[in-house]
Amino acid sequence: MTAEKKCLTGIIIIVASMIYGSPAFCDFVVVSSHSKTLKVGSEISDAAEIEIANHEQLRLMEKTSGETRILIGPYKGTVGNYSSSPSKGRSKPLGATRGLP
Amino acid sequence: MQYSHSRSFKGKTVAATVLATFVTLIVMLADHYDVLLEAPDKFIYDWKSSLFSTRIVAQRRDITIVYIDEVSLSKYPYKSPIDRALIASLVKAIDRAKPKAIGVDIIFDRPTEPERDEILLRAIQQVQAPLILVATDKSESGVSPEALEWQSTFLKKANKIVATPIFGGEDSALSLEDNVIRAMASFEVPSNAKRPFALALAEQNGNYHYPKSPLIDWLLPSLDGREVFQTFNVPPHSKISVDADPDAVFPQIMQATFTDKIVILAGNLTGLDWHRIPMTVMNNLEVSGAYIHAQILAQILDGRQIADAPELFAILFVFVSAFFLYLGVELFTERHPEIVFEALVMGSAILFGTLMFWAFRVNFPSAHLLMVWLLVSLFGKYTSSLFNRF
Repeated sequence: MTAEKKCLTGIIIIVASMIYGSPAFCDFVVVSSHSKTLKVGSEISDAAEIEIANHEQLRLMEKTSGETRILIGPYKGTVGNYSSSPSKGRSKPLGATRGLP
Repeated sequence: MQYSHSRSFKGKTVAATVLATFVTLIVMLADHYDVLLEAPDKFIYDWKSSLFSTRIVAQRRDITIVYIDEVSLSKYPYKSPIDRALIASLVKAIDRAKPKAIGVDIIFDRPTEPERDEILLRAIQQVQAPLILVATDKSESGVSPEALEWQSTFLKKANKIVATPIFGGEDSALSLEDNVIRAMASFEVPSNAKRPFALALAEQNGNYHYPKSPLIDWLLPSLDGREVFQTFNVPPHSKISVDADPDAVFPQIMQATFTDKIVILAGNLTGLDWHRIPMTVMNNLEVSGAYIHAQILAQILDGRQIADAPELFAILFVFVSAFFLYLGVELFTERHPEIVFEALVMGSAILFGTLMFWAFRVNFPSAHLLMVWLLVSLFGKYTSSLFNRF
């Protein structure tokens, strides 16, 4: 490998690692939220730690790909580390008519 | 089972063959007349679907769902029927992004506020993208003739494609309905029938394949929270005016993602159009009808299907299970409890059926096996004493 090729390879590796390692590489935007702290439209970086209370849901859109994710509480950690598990069932059947909750 | 174990191996083989033939005949007749007990079949099928359906690696790029939910309507005085000016505004916002098609999974079968009904009608008429609406019919219980008449007038004025939102139902005469959606509506292309909603949307795409078997081949979400379909909820907002700008309700960052996709607009409101599906056996939750339509649409677009096991294969499978169950109990249960052997044979058959589903998406109904077990238990006792006479 010539010196020029070595130099070019090095530059590619450095640029790629800068892009991949950047916290802004995979930002999310909140598209629906039950949380009082994380409002619709707010942005979350991949490295940021978020907290979702029990029974709360957070729907996020990955800015680069447009993919949406749903995170169901209780959860504390980064978006990337979230792992879903079967959520709990609904509460007991409601035997009444009601207005908006 | 308490059988006599005194006959020769040849005699036992003959007895097993005769009994297996008899049992196979009864099981296949029961299948033909839809009188198999389906509860265990449903139970096993739901777990198979939950555990062995295809789990997505990346989100689909062709379908988006937009929900109007409780939070979207939190500043409206009523939630049903959904405010027609809001629907009009959303239809316009989606249409601006130039989607491949728009499906509105909301039934319009009664008047609301006249000027809001009118603004929706105008928005639907002016939409550029192919638009599919849905209509209920008299097969839905509780729908009044007046509602059907109002719906008919509204849809005629809308002048768009109208589809049916109804899913597949139960076939078995002995089935206890559990209201779990496992099948899509069957469709034989009669010229006057309304097409199923998902099929009508798929037709706008060009390439599609409506499966022969009505069973839905579900896609499971990724474990990192990634949804099967891109999904948005309309953010909460103050009750909109009839002349509101579409951007006032639905942020542009979301609108921009609709280009060249099939977008389904639907309500996701507590108790309205919510259904149980096989994957919710673990948590007893419900999903929206729009989510089920999207799953069916994805299946039609992909040309996937869950095939029922061929009848000849089913006959052979039932015969072999009955034969070995009877013969095994006759041969081996002098030293071991019969229930152990029965559980082994039936467990192996169920495991085989699960493997067939996982590897080839072939569905072999477990109800056949349950009936084999019951019949071999019942008739085995009598045939054993009958054959001992010869």
